Amino acid sequence: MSRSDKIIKSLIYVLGGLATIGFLVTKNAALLEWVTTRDYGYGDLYRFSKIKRFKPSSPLPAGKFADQDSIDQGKQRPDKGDEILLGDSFSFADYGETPFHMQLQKELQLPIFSVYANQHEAFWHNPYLMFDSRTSQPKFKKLLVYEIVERNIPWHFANPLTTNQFAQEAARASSFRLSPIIKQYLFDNSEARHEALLKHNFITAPAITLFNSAAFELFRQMPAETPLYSVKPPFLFYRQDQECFQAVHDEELVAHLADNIALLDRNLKEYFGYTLVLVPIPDKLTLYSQYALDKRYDNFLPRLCFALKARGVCTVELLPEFRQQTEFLFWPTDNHWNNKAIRIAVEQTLKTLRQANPG
Amino acid sequence: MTTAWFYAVKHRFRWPLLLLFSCYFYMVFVPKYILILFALILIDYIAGLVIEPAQGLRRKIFLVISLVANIGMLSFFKYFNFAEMEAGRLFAWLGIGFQPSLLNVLLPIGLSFHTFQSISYTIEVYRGNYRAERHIGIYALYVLFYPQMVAGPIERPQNLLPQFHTPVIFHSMNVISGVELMLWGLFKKAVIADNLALIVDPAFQNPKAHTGWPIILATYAFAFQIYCDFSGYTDIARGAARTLGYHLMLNFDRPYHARSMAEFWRRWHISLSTWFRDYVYFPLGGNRHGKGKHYRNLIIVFLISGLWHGASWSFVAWGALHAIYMIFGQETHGLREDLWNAVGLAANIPVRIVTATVITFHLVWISWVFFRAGSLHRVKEVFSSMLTLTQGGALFPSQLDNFHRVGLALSMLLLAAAHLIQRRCGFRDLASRLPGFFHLGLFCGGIIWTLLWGQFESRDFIYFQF
Repeated sequence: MSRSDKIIKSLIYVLGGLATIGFLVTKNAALLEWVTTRDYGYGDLYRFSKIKRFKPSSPLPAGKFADQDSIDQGKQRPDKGDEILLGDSFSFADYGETPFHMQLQKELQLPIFSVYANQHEAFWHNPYLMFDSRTSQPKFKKLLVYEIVERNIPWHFANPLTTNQFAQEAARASSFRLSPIIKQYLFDNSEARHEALLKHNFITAPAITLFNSAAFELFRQMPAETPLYSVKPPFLFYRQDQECFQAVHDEELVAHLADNIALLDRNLKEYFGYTLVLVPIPDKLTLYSQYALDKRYDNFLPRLCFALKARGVCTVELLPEFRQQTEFLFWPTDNHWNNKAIRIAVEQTLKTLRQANPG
Repeated sequence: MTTAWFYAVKHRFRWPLLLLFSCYFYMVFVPKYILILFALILIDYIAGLVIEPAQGLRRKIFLVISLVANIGMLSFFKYFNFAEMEAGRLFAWLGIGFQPSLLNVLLPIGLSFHTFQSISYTIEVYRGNYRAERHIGIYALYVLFYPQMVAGPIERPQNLLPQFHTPVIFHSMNVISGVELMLWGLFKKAVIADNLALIVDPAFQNPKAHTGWPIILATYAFAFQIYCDFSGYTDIARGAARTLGYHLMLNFDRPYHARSMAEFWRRWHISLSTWFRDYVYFPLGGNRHGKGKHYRNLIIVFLISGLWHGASWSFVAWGALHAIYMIFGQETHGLREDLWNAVGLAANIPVRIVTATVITFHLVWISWVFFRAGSLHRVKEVFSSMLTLTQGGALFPSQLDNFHRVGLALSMLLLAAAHLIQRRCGFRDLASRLPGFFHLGLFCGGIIWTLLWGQFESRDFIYFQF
């Protein structure tokens, strides 16, 4: 074997060994957490962009309740609760104060069964799956507060959810199951975990930060996940916000989405006895597009809320109230709302509920 | 990781190791679908063993059983819903009540490639060109070999199976050239194809809003997107196999340099074109039984090729259009030669070469509309948008910023230059002549270039859907 063969072979073994360790690390959430950087604390958009100029001087305040829902706390199926909150990361983010769903529970003085969409995707994609079986009309009103951020609405409600789908999905889920251990160690969410490992580990993260910062300073080049930014104020915007903002939301689409949401409301009432309370949250870019784009907002969310109200869906409108605020309602380097916005959302939800159910 | 483990173990442990990793890669998609492949592997393995000693009708029957199993499996997953929908339409047109019962299943990834590779094995054994594989593990690896598992090249048993039996001796040049080929493939995919996708996707999703130049530009962009996407995948597959010391067949040979449609098909997706030639066109009689049968055979081959790409009438129309091109090319060959000679242009004169290349490219360009549109209705919309004089929509989408536009233009120039170099002397020849440090510099430059201008969002390779 020649000298160059020996060198290359040794290099392959070293890289192969590292790759094997990396592969094993991705199979265990605690290990993955251990080898990745803690820059989440500076905002998820900063973590995506890794551009030094946008790094806040101190981490965002961290609370005790982030990402915890009732299922995580060992409670049984959602339909054991009379009030359910089904929400995405906006409901469950915690920036040092009480998250949205807990504040709502406190104000309503009713136990709310909370379901975090990101951890229980099946329920989010099809809320009917939360219920064991169809029930007759209940004696008193039950609520399903459905929180969803604006950018997710067009694709999430693109098709009507039918109760047949409920039966089909349940059957499919029970038809073939791998051992949970095999599933976790071999096939569970591997792509996202590999990406987390490759981009955010202690070795590559500083190199990526250096590269991205240089690309930004030299060419004003932004990473794909955070294509839009403003330097004054130092804001980063999420790619999906941009896609939603620039998409065409014509009247036909708005009506179609409103029809699908109204159908969900009707089915929830008819089959399960729950009334839908939709809480659509404006995107960060919807509120602050003037800092990053020339294009005007197409009023997608107000038009959708109007169409929903016309169809009798209880909808919490946040955008008008948000627009009146002089303080920023989103974290500059995070895609989520801050405590001020959460408080406004809680108050607006209560106000809408009171208007819908006086007394 | 696979390469390190591969070289760390002895030859007799390499096939189980590669098979294990290949199964794992396949199962990351939908684990249970591996059972379909195991069933096909078992059927074709046994078919090979029984075909080899059998004679006459028995030999034929065993082959037919294997073909029915392979094509049946492919048809069930790929064409069942299409057939049901079309039957529903037909019955509705006839006024007969028929409710299509559609399957709610995903197409197993790479099924079209596996079945064709398996079929080539049984046919080669049937023809006596290759001895049946005795080792079921090696045969399973032939079907599941991870670099080419999802989108080819569709290998032949003569090329791949003997390589698995032969002990691989480590050679650094295999690893270096393999890694370089993978980087070149990644460059084509992430920098060129995925940036072009930003132009193509919005225009083809809504052609009515992208009339005039935007849709024309998007169609040109798609011609290069699909080439860079698919040939990029092939380069990555061939590079990954080469690092292990295995050599997969060439799948693309600068197809847009072709001067005729026949030449285009000798340069584009070579493993599929030769598959159709060897296992469909020649058995039908090729061009040996007169013009009529020759053209019939061409039509059959291209219609099947269209259907192989997708269960949709637009793919069938794409195949039919290529058949028309081929027949038209044959019919007008003499006339065109006369015309060239009349204007005094011999075969090797640059003007004639460039003209023929440009015409061939544009014929292919038109056909890509059928390939990309997804339905005949959308094809109509695209062509009518092309013919609309007023420009609708932006030429470049806002997601493709100036920085990426410049990067894309430079990258396409680099690709063109690479093709010219390849035409003269071949990449590997040139690379071997370069000094080591220059080589390393080019490699590092390639990585930085790809990182700087590549798109790294999750965007599947186009041919994964087939």
